[in-house]
Amino acid sequence: MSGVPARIRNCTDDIGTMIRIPCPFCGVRDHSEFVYGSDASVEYPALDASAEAWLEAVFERENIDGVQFETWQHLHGCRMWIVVERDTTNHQIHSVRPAHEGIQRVLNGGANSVQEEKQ
Amino acid sequence: MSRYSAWSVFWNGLIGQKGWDRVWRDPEPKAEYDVVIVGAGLHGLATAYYLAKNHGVNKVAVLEKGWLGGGNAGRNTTIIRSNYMMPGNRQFYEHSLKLWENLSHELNFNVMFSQRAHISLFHSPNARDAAARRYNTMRLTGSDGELWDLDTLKRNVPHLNYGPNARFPIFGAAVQPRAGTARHDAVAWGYARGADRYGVDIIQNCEVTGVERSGSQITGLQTSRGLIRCKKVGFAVAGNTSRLWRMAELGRLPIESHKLQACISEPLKPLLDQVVVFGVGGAHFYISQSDKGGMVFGGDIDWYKSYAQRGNLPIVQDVAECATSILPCLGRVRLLRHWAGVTDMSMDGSAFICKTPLDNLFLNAGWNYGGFKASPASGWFFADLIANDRPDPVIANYDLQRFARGWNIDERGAGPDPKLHG
Repeated sequence: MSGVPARIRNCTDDIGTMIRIPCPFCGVRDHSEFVYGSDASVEYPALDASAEAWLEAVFERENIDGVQFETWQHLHGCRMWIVVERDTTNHQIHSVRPAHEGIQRVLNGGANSVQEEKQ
Repeated sequence: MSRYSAWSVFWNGLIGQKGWDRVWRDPEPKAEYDVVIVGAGLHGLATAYYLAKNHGVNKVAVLEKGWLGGGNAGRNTTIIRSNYMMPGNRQFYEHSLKLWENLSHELNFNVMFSQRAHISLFHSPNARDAAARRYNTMRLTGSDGELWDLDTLKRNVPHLNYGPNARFPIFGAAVQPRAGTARHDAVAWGYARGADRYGVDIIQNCEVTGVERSGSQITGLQTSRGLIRCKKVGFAVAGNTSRLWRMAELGRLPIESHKLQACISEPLKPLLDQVVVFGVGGAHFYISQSDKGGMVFGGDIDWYKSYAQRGNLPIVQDVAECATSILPCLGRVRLLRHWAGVTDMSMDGSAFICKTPLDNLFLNAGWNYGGFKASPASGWFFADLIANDRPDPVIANYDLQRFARGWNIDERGAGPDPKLHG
């Protein structure tokens, strides 16, 4: 898809009836193709961490009114998980990247970067 | 302030409607109050009313950043029911329903509470068993509940899609006859008028901008109309709880703000005399007809976090599909308006009415998608908590520590994910 970056600014149209998410693999799509995952800032502790650490990760949320990172899955498209930087007060999307860093590297540098990594 | 009666309506008819007072005062904020409630929605206003009436605390202010009843009080689908099953919720919502039953008399204000019955359709023998368990639990703990077979349902609600080609054929329904709807604005106005008569100051256009703390005490609130000092503070700002929580420097909460949409159609002649709920597979849909004739309906929350008070089209499409699936006669009806409110979605789908890490701060939050029906009992128990500094046994588990104790009050059994409780 050409012209994806140029359209990010207009991902939320003027009256805000539909969020449009620029999927890194498929291009700009309506958000009805995606499912929301959760707050991407949550980091789960090690399995043997204390109960308090797990309580914090599972139950406590920052609940930001502003720009936050969150996970979405392009369920009715390429099925990839992505990290979306979105303003929760007006639904503006600021950036989108694959959730898996290795895949991001492939997008950045092509298949060679994966081979370099293996070596 | 005058009391409303048939006589006052008749008398004002004779004197050209010149005998009516304003319904509540518009006072300037005083320098100090015994109790300040933040948020003049249904829960905040009910709290102020019961603080004054039940506990004799009347140096109370209710602060509202906009106009009273302009948040979720004016954005809900006005459904009232008590068909909850979990311990705690069971007693809480039944108490609320009992308060609703006398609310118009209590407030001397017609809240138009209509006990038109709440009908939850089921579509399989297994769903009937689950409904029977829930409704038997309700009957054993002081509520009403009935199971309707298909013939009874067809007699009472003739327009549903009973056809053999329905995607989910209807088997019957679980019904709470005492449930119903009320006029949402009237509830806000009734509680505001009632609280005002006891001397409560309702201060509109007064946004809290900061929290003044001294150790583990709140000494006052910075507002857009100056500093207001207070001995006790209650937050009742569901949807924006996390914002105020951060102002008080209290960190994180088991709450996410999501938005819930509702829709209303153009007015129709009398069509549906009950509240009907359709929920099977991916569908989640509830519908009733307002007194003006509009079909009021809604479904799931929008799934992603938002403070925007603005809906999105996929859910409108989703509820429209549910509407025509269950009530095909609505196929050509035009949508008049749809809107969204911001809700506190909690980690187990249940609310918080509790003490906080600060000695004189009390929290009323986490109403998920069902705060309207709860508002009388919410005000009742929150006032009791603030006045007596200890929770009533009914709300003992509506505290922030219940997750640490492993005591989730999860009616849906959906797990610790706020978006799944809508």
